[in-house]
Amino acid sequence: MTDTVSLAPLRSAGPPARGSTGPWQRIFSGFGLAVLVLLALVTVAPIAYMLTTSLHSTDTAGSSWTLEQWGVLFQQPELLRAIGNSAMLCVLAIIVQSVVGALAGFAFGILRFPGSQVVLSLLIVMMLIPLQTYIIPEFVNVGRLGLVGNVPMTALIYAGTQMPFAVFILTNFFRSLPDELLESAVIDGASYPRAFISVLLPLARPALITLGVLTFIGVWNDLLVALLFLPDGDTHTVGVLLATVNSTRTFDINQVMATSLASAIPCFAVFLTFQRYLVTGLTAGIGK
Amino acid sequence: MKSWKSRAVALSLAPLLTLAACSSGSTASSPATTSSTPAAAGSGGSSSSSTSSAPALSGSLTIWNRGPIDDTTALKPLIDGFKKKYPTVSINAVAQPGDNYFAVLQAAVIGSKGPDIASMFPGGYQVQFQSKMLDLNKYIPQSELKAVGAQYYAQDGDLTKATYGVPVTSSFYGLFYNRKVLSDLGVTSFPTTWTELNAACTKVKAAGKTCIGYGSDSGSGGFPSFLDWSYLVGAASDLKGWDAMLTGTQSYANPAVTAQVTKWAALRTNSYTNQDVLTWRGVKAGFADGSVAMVMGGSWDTPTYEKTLGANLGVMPAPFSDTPQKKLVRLPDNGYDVLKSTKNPDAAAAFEAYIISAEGQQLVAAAGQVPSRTGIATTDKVNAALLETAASPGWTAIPMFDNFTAPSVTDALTNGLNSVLAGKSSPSDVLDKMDSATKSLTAAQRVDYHLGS
Amino acid sequence: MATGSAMSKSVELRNRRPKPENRLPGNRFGGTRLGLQSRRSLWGMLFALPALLLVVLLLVLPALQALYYSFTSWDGTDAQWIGLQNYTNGLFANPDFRRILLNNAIIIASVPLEVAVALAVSYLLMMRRRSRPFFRAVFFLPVALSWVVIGLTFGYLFSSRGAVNTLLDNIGLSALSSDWLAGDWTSLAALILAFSWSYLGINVVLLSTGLATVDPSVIEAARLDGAGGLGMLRLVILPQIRRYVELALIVTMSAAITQIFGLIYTMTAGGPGRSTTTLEYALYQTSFAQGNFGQGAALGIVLFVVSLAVTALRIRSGVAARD
Repeated sequence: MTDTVSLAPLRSAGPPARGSTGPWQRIFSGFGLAVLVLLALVTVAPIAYMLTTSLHSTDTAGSSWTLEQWGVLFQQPELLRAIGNSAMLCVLAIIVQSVVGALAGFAFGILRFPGSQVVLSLLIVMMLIPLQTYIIPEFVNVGRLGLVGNVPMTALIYAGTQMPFAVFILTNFFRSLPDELLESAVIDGASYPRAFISVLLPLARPALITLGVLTFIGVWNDLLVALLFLPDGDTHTVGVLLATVNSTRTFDINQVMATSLASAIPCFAVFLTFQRYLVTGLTAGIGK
Repeated sequence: MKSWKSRAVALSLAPLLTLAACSSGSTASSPATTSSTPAAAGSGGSSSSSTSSAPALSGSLTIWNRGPIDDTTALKPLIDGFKKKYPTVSINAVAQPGDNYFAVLQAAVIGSKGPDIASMFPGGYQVQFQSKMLDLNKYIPQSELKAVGAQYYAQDGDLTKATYGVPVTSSFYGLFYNRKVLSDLGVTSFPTTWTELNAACTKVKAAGKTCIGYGSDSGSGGFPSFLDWSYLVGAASDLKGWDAMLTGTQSYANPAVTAQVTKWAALRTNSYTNQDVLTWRGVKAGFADGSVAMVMGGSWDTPTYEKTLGANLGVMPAPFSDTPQKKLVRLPDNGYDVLKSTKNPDAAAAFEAYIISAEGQQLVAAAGQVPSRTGIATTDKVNAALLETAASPGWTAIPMFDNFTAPSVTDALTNGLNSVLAGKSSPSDVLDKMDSATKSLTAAQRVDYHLGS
Repeated sequence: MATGSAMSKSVELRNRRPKPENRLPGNRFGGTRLGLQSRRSLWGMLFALPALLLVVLLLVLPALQALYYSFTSWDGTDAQWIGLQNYTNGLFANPDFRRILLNNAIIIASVPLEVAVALAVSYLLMMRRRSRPFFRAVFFLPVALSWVVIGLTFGYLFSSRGAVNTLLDNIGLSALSSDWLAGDWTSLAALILAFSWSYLGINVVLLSTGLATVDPSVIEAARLDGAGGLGMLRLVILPQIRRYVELALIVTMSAAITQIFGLIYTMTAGGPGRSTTTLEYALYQTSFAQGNFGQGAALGIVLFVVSLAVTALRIRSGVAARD
């Protein structure tokens, strides 16, 4: 009995069967498609402009295309090292955030304890403090520990400052799972950690992947924290390295566009790689 | 960009703005670009300081450069030259993004993670950092510091007091013009007063072109109005007056300055400028294709414009004045400080001495930059022509005003002047705001730079 | 509609989870109820601990330090106690401050609209399985871009001779074209549009996750009862994903008021005048561009208090009082 109750809400909402739609539904569906296409065009147009700009040069005024700006990026001798630094930061931050965040999401969303919802509210409120308010005191604290320039410490800072967001998302997700999943596992003799790892965590995959993708983008694109906490040349991230490509003197829009687009490519690649798990992953998890 | 304003810019997105660092020359060292005997001047200073300490030098130096290496200061050739002289010193040059550079440097200094040597602008920037920087007076002879006009890297603008950095290049603000467009319309001599400017602009306007283009290719809301401001206030007041306004003993909203800003704002109401001064993204393109006759800019813009205009490019001081002025807004800038925390002060100071020596400054000139050292000319023809004019008798250099305004005043200034030219607020509005921003500065923030002494 | 209310009622029943204090596991499972319950609470606290520790050390502690510094004139090194001066002289006496607050209010007010669009898009996507990955990828494209490039691009698009005006002219709406970024209110509108453009993708992902948890049998039952289109969305689906909508609202608001200084800087630099200056942008400028960290901290505190007031009710209803 618990089984049917618990599994029902987890099944992905499939598309309405086309055959059973009435005329109104078909009109609605056509209208919907038109809206989607229009919005997609609006979304793509500015990006097309960016791409076009990055493939022109101020020197070659007019219509000729060039890869000059993109070439500059790949001539950076430190690029490989910077990619390594960025990837390391992203991976560490995602690991810490997923593990710690999932535990907390499980605690706040399912286990609950006296006062847990108050603590959760306080935690979420922390999302409203802008990073710039406290990043300098943070820097001073980390400096006292002698950990400025330390990559794992910087990853920890990303994870810690983004933790409220992570906990919020994961708590929300765990809350939508039926309590009976846990109850039945525990009744069957599993400990809470065991139930968490073998029953609930696998179900959280789509939420964890969503979070991981967003964290990757956040860390990859960040400039402020990386600049402050990793000031040495050999720990520069891709974002910092590419920012140094832009001249401080003369503004070159073509170069800036190429730089920004190049640095967005890994973010989008990560999204594409994982996007099939985002929602469909939900049903896949149930299969086990 | 210079000063605080530029600091604002620098900190935020400097690379995105065309900020240049600019600075102004001091009246004290007249910026002769083409004069005499560079070799003599150079060899004396540099060799004396370097040879004396050469045997002891070793170890390594880390240099933080604001922006790409070689972007503004010919750092790479300077390092190569220095290494030839002191092969036992190793140098690690780190390019830091212009974005947030000063905040990052400040944080690094607080956290004792700073480099040995760091990029620094004169004026307000230097003042903010002076307690953390090494006094170079103990290492470099006065005459050398004077030769590059380093006084705005010194306490109270006085080289005999502690001096914390040395400028590598010198920059100026000016009004760039398209020689052919103007001469085709019968404007053969560049305007020197409001009257002449308006007459020239009337012709340009009649020809269907824009006389002075305003806007910003980088966006970021508005145009760099601090370029205009130094000329506006330079014609309205002498440098003693600048000191008085900067320290708050004289109001910005005085009749002379108000009149200047009012005449400047009329450029747009008379349609001598484009109407969309805050948002036009095509200023550079318009100047390149001849539909815009003039644009405000800095010495760092010259190479860009030369690429498209070639010999038709000219640059002169902005004629924002009732009477002809022989003043060029110029400041030795783009310098380097040595941090107090360095473990290798002798080597670091030797590097500082080298980059302002005649030998080092020749390398700067060879890279196409404008050297800060008196007597060494830039190789850029357009910049050299203006600097030559400005070195002739009767001419003075006045500094870049915005290098010396406190940040909140700079903010009121740039934001306000943008609004004035766009017709959104009155000249007295912006000047009043600058006054009230100055009034709310603490005593410590109201630095007297002694520009007029 | 009878169907709708019956539906949501059944949904509530299904989702209801007893609050810990009311939970009576012993009745159902015959275990020792206090033992099981307190063990569960204990594990809960233990599991929450690492996250709380990280947040306290890396966020709360420096934020409290910043609170202290907001009463000082602090340039990063020396901090002189100056009492409330940063708040009184620096903020409330500043004639521009009211406009800055108003800008924040307008940006916050636009958030529900942005989430509504994302919800509509997610709903439309839910119904087309085949094209869903394509559209979702397209809407996600802007998410991968940094604010800097978004600001530059929209600055160009909305400039007086930019693509938006060209488009309006071409479709015969030249009456609507204007120098967007030079206008007091049009510049703010353009800024909000740029933000919405880039945030749509994130909200679509968040809300799609929520929609995936909707029980398809409920939808099927509603369909048989004749519900469709917007009725289905409003009466059947929305009640089931309210939590996700709240999530999207708070995440979007948090981003809009604490993470977009890069966008503002490159698009408008807070201008013209103070038309697009937000508390966050003023904070960034004050702290990082002007080196006045004490004053900046005060701005951060004000921003926090303002957004706290706005969200207090929402968080209560969305988090604590839910089920």
